[in-house]
Amino acid sequence: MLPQLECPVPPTQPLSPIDFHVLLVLAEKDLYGYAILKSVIRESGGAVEPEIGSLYRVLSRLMGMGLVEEAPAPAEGEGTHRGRPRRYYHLTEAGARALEADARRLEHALLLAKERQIVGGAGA
Amino acid sequence: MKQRPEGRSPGPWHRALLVLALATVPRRFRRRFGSEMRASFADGLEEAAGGRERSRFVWRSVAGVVKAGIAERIRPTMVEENQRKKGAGVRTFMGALAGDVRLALRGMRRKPLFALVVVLTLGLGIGANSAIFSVVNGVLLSPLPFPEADRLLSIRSEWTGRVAELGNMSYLDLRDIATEDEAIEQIAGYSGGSLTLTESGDPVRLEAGRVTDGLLQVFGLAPALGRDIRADEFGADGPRTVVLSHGLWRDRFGMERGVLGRTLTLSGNSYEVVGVAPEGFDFPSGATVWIPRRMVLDGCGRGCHGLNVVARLAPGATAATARAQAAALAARLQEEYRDTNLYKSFNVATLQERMVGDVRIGLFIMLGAVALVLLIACANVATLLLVRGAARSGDTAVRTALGASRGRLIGQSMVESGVQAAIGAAIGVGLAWVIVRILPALAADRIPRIENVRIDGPVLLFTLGSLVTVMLLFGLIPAVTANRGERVSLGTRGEQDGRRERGLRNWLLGAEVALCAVLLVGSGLLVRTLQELYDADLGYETENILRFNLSLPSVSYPTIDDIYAFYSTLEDRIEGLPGVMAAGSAWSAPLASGSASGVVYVEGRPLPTVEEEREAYIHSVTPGWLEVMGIEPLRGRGLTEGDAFGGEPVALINQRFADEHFPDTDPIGQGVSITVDLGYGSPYFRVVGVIGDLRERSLTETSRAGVWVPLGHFGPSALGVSVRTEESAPPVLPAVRGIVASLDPNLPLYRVETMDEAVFQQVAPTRFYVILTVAFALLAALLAAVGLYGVAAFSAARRTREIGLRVALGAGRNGIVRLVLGQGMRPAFWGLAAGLLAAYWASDLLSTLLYGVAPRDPAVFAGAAALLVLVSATAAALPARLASRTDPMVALRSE
Repeated sequence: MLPQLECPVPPTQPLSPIDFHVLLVLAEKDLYGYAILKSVIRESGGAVEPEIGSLYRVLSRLMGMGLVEEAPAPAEGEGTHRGRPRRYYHLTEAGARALEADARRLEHALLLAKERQIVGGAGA
Repeated sequence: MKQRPEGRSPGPWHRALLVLALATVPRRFRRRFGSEMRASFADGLEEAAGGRERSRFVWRSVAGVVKAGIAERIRPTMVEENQRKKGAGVRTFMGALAGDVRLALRGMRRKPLFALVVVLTLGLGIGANSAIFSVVNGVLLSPLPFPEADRLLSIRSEWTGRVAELGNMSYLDLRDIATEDEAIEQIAGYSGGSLTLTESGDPVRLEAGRVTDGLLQVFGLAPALGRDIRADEFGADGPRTVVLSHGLWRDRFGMERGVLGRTLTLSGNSYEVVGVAPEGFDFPSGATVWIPRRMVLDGCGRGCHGLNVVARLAPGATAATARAQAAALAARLQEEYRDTNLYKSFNVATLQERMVGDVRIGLFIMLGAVALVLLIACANVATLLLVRGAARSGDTAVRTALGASRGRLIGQSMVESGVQAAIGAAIGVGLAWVIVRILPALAADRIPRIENVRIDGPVLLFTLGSLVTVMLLFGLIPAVTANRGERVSLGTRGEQDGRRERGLRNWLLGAEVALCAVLLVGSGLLVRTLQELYDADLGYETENILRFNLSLPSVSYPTIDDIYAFYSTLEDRIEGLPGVMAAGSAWSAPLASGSASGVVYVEGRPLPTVEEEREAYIHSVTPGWLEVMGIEPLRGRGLTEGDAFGGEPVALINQRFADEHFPDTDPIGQGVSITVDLGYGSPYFRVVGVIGDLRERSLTETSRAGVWVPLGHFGPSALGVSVRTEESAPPVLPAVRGIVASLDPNLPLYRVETMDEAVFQQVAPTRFYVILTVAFALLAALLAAVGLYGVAAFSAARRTREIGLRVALGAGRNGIVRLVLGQGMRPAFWGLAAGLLAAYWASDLLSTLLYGVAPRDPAVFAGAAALLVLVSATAAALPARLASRTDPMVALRSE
């Protein structure tokens, strides 16, 4: 049985799947655009598959919300790749908080789903 | 699968595709992310294994970039570099907005007259619209003040295929509907009337509802105290009970609960108070007491049509299902009761439709007319703004040069119109508030529910809607054209404003004049209608006639002899008053309530079959009444005192009756009978005279066949007494009251009015429409004149140099006047032509409101055209005169 039924997360606007996965990817390490794209596809199991246009709109929006910021390249020489510019993105503290809140929301939902035996491994 | 060589760059056509796609992306976004997007594209292309995956990637990316580009234009995610904080976007927008508002207000302060014209124009347009919408909303749209009012129905009996109309229903038909129409949950019948309450103090005339049981239940209400009238209380010998209105209970009985069980004397009979209606219940309108309808159930049965009927739909049922079931029932009753029901059908409508159906078309036409005024106001303001925009093109060019973007300029222009429209709307709401207070007086009680009209939430919402419409209509045009200011070079002050702007201006002016022409024609037609109504030959006099009703209680005046003696004495006494020329009494007088009709039989002819039956209305009058009303016989003689009693009953018929029944024979001397029970059957009356047709129920209806018999043969106890005076009638009223009181202190006078007032009531709806449309048309003409003047003055001012040159080269003053006038009036002429055509096509819409004038009356069209030509000529003439005085030297030096 679950100790509580109320959602433990303060009610905030849930992130869209793509926002969530972008933040999740950046939580591991700073990445540049195309690397983010690939990681999101991989980590979501292909369920979230942004193309270039929407990826940069998401990044632009997340930056506007202060959840993501531009970061210096992690190592010398990684600022360009074959002469092409490479900008790295970094999860801000606000971004980390938003990610955590949404992850908790999902965790809670998952626990409920298990309890109701919608997915296996009920935590009774 | 073959591995692609490392570092392969995208091919040139891939790059070209991406560059094309990137062109859809807003510049700022592209500047920030463009190179990264290209890099990611290249990365992806490198990694794509195989041609199929490669091309999938290319197309997907290109489509994605285009999609993002469009999305970014509609809902930008980009915010200023230095404001990347949460909410910064909103703050920037608000900041810019506040700046724009300040700029707009400053602009208005700089040109106060211009701003005043714009704001007042919009205020008048929006105010008039809000006011008329408040009427439409209060009268037509807002629900009746009863629970679930949309479930209330009104059901009437109708003759199908017969000339005579019916309306009221028989009690037996009502009972059948109650039991057989499953769509109806509750049904009740009622009729109006009035009763005299004689308690302590002066007798009071109370409007009464004579009802079957269940009236309150139909309306979904319960009595505030006690109970409603019960089913066992109507019928000829039922107990006399009464339900009081909440107002009467409060005002007359101090809201005492002990009022239940008390006995009231109403028109000479004792009634026991059994209940008090809930507060605010006002049905039929004005009723303050409800008593059981006393009817003889086994008398004339289905042939007695005395009841108005209201009903409540069963839950889930619709008016359509109720209608269908009633139609099926009517068909069955037609077979079953051929004598009484052969042509009878039931007309089911919602109560609201029935109450306001007569004014629905009129009010919607008014709403349409006032919408035209708003369109004109918008066109006018847009024209003026265009003129100013052209004058400000230099200003715009400067701002463009300083880096203001196209969007920024349009935004600024929209904010400016928004500010003006908002101030206009505020003025408009104030104006509407005033108009709404004047309207009920204009309507003179003839627009139902007019008391319900107010400025409330829906009306304010409508105003907001008008505001947005107005902003879009008049704000967008200058906004789009102002943008072309970019092309105006900074050096010159564009002397010849752009051809497109001028074209647009002329279009707008033309449209204004066209709409104005439509309004002028419409109001002209209504004015002619009003005139025709006042001039209509009614068949009787209306000047200096006072009338009032009396109702003799049957307890004190049990026989027709008593009734006749009372009215006869009263008339004699009134005629003795100084200044009184004649007095008379009548039942069923013109423009008053009360009438009875029956089937006509002519002596010596076979009884008509049901198909041949013709109806006629019967009236009961004293000889004095014919004198008061100035009704002279066309043939034969009038009525005399001697006709009242004894001898053979005589009657007058009207021309319509004579035409219907005696087309080839002389009606004088014929015997006619109407199947109305006069207390001693339906005797044959000997026709002694023929009178002209009277407009009885309204000023516009064609006459109905009628019979006038002397009081004494047939006379209900409630009669209307009419008094004709040498001069204005009202001053004799106190003396008349004195005479009535001296004859019977318990008789109140009610429905006291002059005939002129009765006529006024009749023309009130038309007058209402006339006042509104004339006001709209004049407003429209004024606005059009302002627009024409503004543009003509502007054009003349712009052409000062050219005009100066012309004068210097010898052009005469008249030539200059012609030039400016001609140019100023050209759009007006086109607009007028288009407007008259539109009016020609649309005037049919008005036809239900018209009387005595054809919808395409040439005189009205000519008058509207002449007025508009005059208005536009005046508006353009002033600048033309000014231009003709141009001093060539000053003009040429000015540049």
